[in-house]
Amino acid sequence: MEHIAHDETSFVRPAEVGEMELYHAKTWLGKYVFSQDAKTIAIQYAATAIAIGMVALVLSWVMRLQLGFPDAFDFIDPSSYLQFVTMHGMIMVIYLLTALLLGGFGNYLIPLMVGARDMVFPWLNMISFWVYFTAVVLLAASFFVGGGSTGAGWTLYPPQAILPGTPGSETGILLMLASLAVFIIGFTMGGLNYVVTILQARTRGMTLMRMPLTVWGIFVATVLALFAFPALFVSAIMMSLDVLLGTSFFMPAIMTMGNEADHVGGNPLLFQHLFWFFGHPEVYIVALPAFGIVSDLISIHARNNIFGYRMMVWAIIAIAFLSFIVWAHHMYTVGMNPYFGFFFATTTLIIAVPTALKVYNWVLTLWQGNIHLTIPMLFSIAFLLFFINGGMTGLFLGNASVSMPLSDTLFVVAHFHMVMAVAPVMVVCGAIYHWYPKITGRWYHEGMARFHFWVTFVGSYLVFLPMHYLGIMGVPRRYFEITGTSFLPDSAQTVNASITIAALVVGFAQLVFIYNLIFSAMKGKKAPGNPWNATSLEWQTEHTPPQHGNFGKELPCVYRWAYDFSVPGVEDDFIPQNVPPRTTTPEAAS
Amino acid sequence: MSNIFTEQPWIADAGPLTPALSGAQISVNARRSALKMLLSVVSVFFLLMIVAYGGRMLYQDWRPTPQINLLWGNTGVLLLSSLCLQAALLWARAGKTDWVRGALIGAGILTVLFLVGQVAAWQQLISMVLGDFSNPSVGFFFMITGIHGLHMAGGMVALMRAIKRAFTQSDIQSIEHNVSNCALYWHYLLGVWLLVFGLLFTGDNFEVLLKICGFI
Repeated sequence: MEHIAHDETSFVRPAEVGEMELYHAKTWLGKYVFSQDAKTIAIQYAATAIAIGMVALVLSWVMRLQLGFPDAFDFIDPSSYLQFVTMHGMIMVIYLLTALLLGGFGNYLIPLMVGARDMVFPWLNMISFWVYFTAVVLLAASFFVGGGSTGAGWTLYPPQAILPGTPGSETGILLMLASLAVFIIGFTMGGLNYVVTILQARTRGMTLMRMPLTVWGIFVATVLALFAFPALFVSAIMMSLDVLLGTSFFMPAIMTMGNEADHVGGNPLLFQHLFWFFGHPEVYIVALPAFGIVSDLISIHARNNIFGYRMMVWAIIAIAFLSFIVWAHHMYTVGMNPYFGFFFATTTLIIAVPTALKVYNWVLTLWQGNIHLTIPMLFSIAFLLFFINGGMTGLFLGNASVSMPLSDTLFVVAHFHMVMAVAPVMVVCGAIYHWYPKITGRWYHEGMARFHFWVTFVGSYLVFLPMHYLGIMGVPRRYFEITGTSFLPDSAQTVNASITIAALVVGFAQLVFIYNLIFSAMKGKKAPGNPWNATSLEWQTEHTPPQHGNFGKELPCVYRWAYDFSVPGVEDDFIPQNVPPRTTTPEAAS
Repeated sequence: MSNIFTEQPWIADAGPLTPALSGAQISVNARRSALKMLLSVVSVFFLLMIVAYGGRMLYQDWRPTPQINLLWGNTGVLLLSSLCLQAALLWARAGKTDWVRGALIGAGILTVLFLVGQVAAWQQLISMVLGDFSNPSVGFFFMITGIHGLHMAGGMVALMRAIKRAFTQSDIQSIEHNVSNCALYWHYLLGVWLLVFGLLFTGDNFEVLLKICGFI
């Protein structure tokens, strides 16, 4: 074994750039409520997102109870069922996953991983969270207004969304649209911060191509979101004007409740185009950070360098680009020109290429690795299994001719839950367990975590795998009740009941997860600063949890990428990014 | 080494670290970068509205917005305010603080005048259509001019800060940074306005718009 000397002096020149001035809060409110520290803001984002996500989880239980045991619960009627479906979908996609992955993980990890003291615009960052919080409050308020929340489905298609007869068409839809608009304003503030911090506040030596893939995923997803959300913003404004001022952006001349509506000449398809121009990139806004995070988790817990780092970066960029030209594959059934259908089917299938490449690289990173079956690794492997499964069914739905009969069935529901709900949630859980010792300075309870993993993993499969078969049988989505439907055998209802039981059990496991997080933060065993022997900068901080300003007196210098694991000839199986290159001293050589 | 196309990140540094390998300076360029990024996002926003407008024009029942001549005057006022900011920037570079202050105040007054003019144009249109907003082109007019106006009003917050700084600080470089960002924002919004005004609200530009949108 060679002797390794860290010859820092020959590699580090004095910094030529002054450090950013950190804001130091003087009051309790300034430190914990209106905090400008990205780490506190991250926890605020995460707590809010998980709290509203729990509401959506409960809504899914109620939906499943109705589907599994129809007529057993008086408080669920067709209208409230549609409201639950709508709110569940919108909350999970936008207010939980997007906010948690970008606002939560983005805020915590970007400055730490790129070696910055904080976000570049801390005040804007703080405002960004409170705007997001306002959006959540507006959304939650719609449960309590007259007529209740909107029941238009999470896609909010007009004209149905704003016509009388649709649940929540009075106030609920307006609150939903207002909440989305506010969310986007808040996200834009945060997103600009993430992008500029990554581009301009990296520490010395941290080239773009040395950034951990977690940062790449969050970075590209943020850019994607910044350019995709305007489409949702525009459509939210236009639909609000249709409701409030009687304009006709989306509303055609139409009869409603036996009367002619005031609208003339609007185009409902325009909404669909705008919505899906946002909606499809949204899938990758959720997926790309998950791709990045899982790359790091797999590499660290398999003690192997990530296979094909450059390929992984370019695959993320390629996926982001392609995600803007596939949107109409959500609209095959509107009666589009077959050539358009062909174009969108082709681009949809092309996007599978960089995605598959990433999957191969994850598997090849595991190959001959020193795999530690830690909780984060278990969740990472589970992610792979869900993502591959969900991706495969995407090939069916991406083809226009196959998509037609499957559209509006539970096959679609099963597909997107596999690929963009459960798969990213696996990464989120794995990531929380992975960074938990750094964030809290304590260990989570291993037993509860293993219980959480196995129940969630097996339970989610029991929920969504049989759902594909129901979809192929023709069970429609968004239907309140399917019993007595002549073309469906009784066994379809039996499967539905079993899915419901599995869903309830999976939901219970999430309560254990939340309990574990709270309980362990107070009573868990003390964790060391770098318990996973990881290489990236967040694990090299002076204090655990990192203090305001993240690093000690000096910002770290970076000399290498974040994947120096099991380097031949080196005693430890990892070399942190801030360790200078080895120099073989003459004494050691002799 | 810092090239994202050729860099081989798995090879550790073989030479001294240089600032070029890291992000640029935080204090100098961050606001400018954020502004450019924001303007890119806003561009997508306006582009989508223009494409939506163009797409809607294709339908047989399309009725254009009635002509409002006041918009020509408003365009001139916005152009002048943008010129004022450009002048302020040039004077800031030349170190003429008093002239910078005057030009900034001029830009502010002209911007307020533009916004008042836009509200007057709205009132004219409301009286022309007798409160009937069901014509999609009228809806687009209100939405696009309204959103453009909101962006101008938002810019006024930054302009007020630049004016305050010009009167309270002596560091001309810091003043120049502020003025430069305001000027970029104003020029950009002037460009957006000329585009939407020229394409959407000045008469029969149907074919031009359809060509831009790729429909013909």
